[in-house]
Amino acid sequence: MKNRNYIHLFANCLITKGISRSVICDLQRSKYVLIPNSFADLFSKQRYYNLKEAPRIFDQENLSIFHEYVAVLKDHNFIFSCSKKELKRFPQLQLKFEYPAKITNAIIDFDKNSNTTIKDIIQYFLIPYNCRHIQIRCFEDMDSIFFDTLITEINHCFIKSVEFIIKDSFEQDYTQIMKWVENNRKIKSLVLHSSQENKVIQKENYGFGIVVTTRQKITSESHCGIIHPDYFNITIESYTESLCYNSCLNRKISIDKSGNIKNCPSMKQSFGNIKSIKTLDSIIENPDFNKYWTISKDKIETCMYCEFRYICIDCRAYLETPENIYSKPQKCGYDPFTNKWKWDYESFTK
Amino acid sequence: MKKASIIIQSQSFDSSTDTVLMWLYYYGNFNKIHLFFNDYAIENFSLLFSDQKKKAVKINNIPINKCSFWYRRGEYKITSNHRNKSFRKNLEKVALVPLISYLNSFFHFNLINRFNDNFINKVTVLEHCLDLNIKIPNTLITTNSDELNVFLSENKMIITKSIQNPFFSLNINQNYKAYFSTPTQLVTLKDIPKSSCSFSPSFFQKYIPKQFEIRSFYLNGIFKSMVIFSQQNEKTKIDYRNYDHKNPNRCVPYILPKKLEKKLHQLMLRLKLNCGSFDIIYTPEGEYYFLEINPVGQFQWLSRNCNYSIEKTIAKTILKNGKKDKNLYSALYK
Ligand code: SF4
Repeated sequence: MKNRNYIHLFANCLITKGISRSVICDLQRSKYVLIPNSFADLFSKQRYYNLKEAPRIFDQENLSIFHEYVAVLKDHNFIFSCSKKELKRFPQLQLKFEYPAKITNAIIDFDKNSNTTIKDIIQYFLIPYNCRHIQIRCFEDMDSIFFDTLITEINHCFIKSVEFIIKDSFEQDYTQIMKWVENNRKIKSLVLHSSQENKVIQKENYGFGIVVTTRQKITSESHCGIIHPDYFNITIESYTESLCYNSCLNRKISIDKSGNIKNCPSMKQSFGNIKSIKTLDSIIENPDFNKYWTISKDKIETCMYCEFRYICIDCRAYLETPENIYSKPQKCGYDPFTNKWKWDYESFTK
Repeated sequence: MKKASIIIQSQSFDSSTDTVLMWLYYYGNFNKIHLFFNDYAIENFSLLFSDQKKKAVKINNIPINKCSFWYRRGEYKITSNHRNKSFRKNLEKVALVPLISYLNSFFHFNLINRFNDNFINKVTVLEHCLDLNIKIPNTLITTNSDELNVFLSENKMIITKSIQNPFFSLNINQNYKAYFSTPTQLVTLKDIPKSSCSFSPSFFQKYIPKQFEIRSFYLNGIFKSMVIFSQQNEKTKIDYRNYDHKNPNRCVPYILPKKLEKKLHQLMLRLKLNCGSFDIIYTPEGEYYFLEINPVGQFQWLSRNCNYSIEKTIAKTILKNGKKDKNLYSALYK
């Protein structure tokens, strides 16, 4: 079995072709590498290539370019060598998105006037739908009793992870809040906004317990929807979901600070208020509500040509053309035709 | 069809159990889920075998022979409350131990694993492999250094690992507990004393060079396999369990040859195991070597890396309530 003259892409390294270039997404190590379309095309029919054939197919110049790119793939550990006989042992990754929850994530906003309790929200809106990942946001200062009550309820229920986005009121002394995060192991991340600097206060520990501060003033819903490579999500779960579903809104609910149930807090349309509603059943069934779930990037104008379409998050709240629900996210500065990023944070965040 | 009642015996922090539970709640078509977690205390017990083959086994009033049962982790605790300590000890030995051992080997239609599967004897397993023509590395268990020297010179490179369980703990005094583990390790000439001597029985195997390793999850005749490219990583060359967190080994789906799957299935039938994970080596020459079977092994990283949704498969099997697997059941008990 010495003839391992085939190079084979690992099943979790997937090529997405864009209109002017392609990207290899490494779903195991959460990174991506750009490659030219002409090179991506070599793998369009099968995920392997016979190195012995290359000299027959390419002329001198192209052959050396080909070898250059093979070396890139090798460096990034995207390929392995195998023999012809072994090829059939390496199936493709199944690209089905399977997740056991009717609602997978919830965003819950609070401010001083919110008269909703986390307990009711968990009981009526999370448990029946198996929703175990939540994000809690507070645009203004809240007292510590509020957070302690919240986390006690969360610790004692089936919720698996919680992300906090809250206002920084700690005046540079983070010892207490770090302790708090450390003691409450379900906290995935804590982002302190309106802070003095952008800084990682506490590093993550197996994906949990990260604390960061940001200068950004997240004082309203409008601070969402920014598309940036930093927010790319390169995992099997998010990739497979993006293939068929909307990468932001699929199976998501949000409860804004006044208790309105929406797809996302930044959207205008409310489907009821938790003061009067005790179930999500009819909302989830409502086509006006769930129509966003299946708007995958392949259906969105411009994004459908973009090489990042399966790792990029989407936004349906701020659109280039607000009246067209298939239009590109407004806060994306990328042009897949020219491959240029236009960067203008300020204009997006006002 | 009557909805199943389900028993899951596990540990409260096991995340695979958590995901399976999520699937179960997602489907929702069960009657009730009983969780026997950690050291599950049996407070009351009843077993009735009567004429007309009637059978009723109850733990804490739960009819376990009517439930779907998934054993994952944990064990039963049953204690007598007699005041006299030595009397209590003896009572436990003669009355409670046989009862627990019955429960730990309890087998019926709708079951995935049982406590006793933890103790499948690894030497017996290798012997079955030999019978079934499943390739295993040359193996020696010996107490004698001369024999070991011969084995080393015949096999060039050898490793040692634990005969059964790689972990054990020891109470040093009331305050300290020492934990020992025996990971797989190379044995070289300098490790073996020159003059003959004897030692406690130790396990040696020929070192098999790897093209890559395979971890294969098995449930009722179905295989879900994953290849681990551990050879590219110095840290995990000998034993992939020496994880490298920064640069994880490539793990991708794999399809074992049908012929090998058939033999491994036979092995599982012989061992009366319906669920487990195989460790296999694939050599540069293209041969498969069986290393071991872990009856209640970790499958979550396999499921995640290959997008296999094994937890979903387990949940579905639990919900089937045994109805469809009568064939397998009779195969196991023939
Ligand atoms: S064009 Fe679409 S897919 Fe591409 S980066 Fe922008 S929002 Fe994401």
